[in-house]
Amino acid sequence: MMDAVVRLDRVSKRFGSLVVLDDLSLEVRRGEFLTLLGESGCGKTTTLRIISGFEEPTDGAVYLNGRLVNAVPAYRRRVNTVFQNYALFPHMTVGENVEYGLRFDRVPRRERRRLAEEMLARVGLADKIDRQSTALSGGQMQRVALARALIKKPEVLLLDEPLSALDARLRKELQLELKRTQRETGITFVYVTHDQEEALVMSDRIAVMERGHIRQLGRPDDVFERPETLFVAEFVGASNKLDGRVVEIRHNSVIVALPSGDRLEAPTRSAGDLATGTDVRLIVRPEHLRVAADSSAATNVVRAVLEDIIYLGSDRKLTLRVGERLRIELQERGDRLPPCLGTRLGMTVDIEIPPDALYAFRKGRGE
Amino acid sequence: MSAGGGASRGARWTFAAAAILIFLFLYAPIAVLVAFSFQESQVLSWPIEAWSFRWYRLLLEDRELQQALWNSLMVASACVTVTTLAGVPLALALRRLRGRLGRFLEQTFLLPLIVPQFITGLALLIVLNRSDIGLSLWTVILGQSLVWMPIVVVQVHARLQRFDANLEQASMDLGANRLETFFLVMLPNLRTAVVGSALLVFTLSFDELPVTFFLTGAENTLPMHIWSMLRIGITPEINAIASLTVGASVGLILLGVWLLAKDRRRL
Repeated sequence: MMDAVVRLDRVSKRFGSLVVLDDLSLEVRRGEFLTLLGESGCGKTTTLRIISGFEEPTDGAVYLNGRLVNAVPAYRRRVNTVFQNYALFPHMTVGENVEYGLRFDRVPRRERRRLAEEMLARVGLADKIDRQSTALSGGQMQRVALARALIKKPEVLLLDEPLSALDARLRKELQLELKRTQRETGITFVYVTHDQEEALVMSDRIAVMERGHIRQLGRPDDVFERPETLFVAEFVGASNKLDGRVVEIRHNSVIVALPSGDRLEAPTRSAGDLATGTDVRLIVRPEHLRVAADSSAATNVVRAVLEDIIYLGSDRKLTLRVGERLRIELQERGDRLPPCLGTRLGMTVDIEIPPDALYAFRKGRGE
Repeated sequence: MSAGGGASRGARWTFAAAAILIFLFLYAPIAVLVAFSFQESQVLSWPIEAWSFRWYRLLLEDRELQQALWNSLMVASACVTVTTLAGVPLALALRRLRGRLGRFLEQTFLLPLIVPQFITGLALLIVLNRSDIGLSLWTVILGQSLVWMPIVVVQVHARLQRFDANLEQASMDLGANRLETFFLVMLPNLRTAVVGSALLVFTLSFDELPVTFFLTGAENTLPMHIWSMLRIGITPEINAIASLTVGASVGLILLGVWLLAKDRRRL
């Protein structure tokens, strides 16, 4: 069953003349892990705050379980939040923090303690129950914050960049932990982040946001492999941008001429009407580029000057210059690159761009 | 060891000597006062020839002085109550107020502390004279509360600046309403600022003279009483009561400062 736990219906939020959310509609399905992905200022945190009740929409309706909740205050909603800076109560112990929310559900003291122990065990901090909350490390604090929110058994758990203050390794660890917790509890998670990798790793669905709009909503592979707009293509995943002009229309593809003179074939997909002469931007991911064998007669080959080879462990990243100004990057496993590439720095190499990996978007016009 | 080390040692001694001198300048008069309070003789003379608790015993019999002490304690306690009950909500309101009004209030709420107290006293006296409210300890309480209120507001306001607004939201997020949030989350984190400023207000009010001078009716507070005793001459009895006051005040101030500092470390 695909019922919506949260439904935002044409929600707008304005602060004075500043439009933060612009006629945004969104359905969060029960039990899913949905990520709002976007840069700061795109409206993702405001969306979260509207769901939690800390912010009221200027226009539009917010439904929780099908019930209109626009006027319901935050403390009456079965929605809980994990804050970016943990927001643990500094004057309380870990256990008191975790059981705090149960006070208002009239749970007796002893039962609260028992449930807090249970929750802390779940996040691996059972032995810290009587510690002062300020005495924990960042990762531990975040786990306590998670336990404190989950103990309320919310309909929806909102997470506002909860891992952004942690170091990279711990972040990876907690990503998997969060995902596992979500799967085990079956609680709906709405997660806010600007980190696209985080979004790809954890989410069932991703909503890519820009300037108060959702630009694309779909599974991680949809968003990553089938971007619908130029913004999504550029924002999700590293990407090379090649600007050019349509010079020929074919059955399911267009031929685009680059300023360097190279010609590339790109499938049209949903790019809309691309007439001859349209300025377009081609997007291609560094890992989809290949160094062509010298004698290959493949199509979609550009000549580029090899400027640098960066060692990334099992991968290498090549920086290349096409024509006068355009710089592109190519990422490939080291053992798949031609041998002795290091000796060809400053020389030209042929780069093959498989047509399937190219996305053509009309340039200039807003989305 | 180089010659430079010797020079810096010389400088250190100079600084130490200066520090000791300043310290003596600050505290020697008080020490002399305390010493004289234990003097047997009626006339102040140095060196002290005989020591006694005579003047402290006399304090126990001085009804008038005891009444003044009692009045002072009453006024100080009332001031603490009024300034706390009004100052804490005012500080909370200041945090919420944005825009021009908020900025205006933020810049002006210190004013009563800056305006010379005798002017505040005089101004209030003029206002009270126009009305039918007679002068009494109540008007003293009113005047002093006005003067000391900024201390509470400043302390609590400063603490609120460092208070993480997310804590308030986290509390409401977890099901607490505004009132529960105030008592369970805000107040425990503001507690030492409130207690610390209350102690300061208590000590300051206990010593206050200018405002009291203008606004009191028939009753005297302790500083007023001492002042009136002085017109007859400095008696060792005054030294005794002054020594006790200094002791109590220093104790309270230290407690207040310690509480404020303790919290600063924790947050």
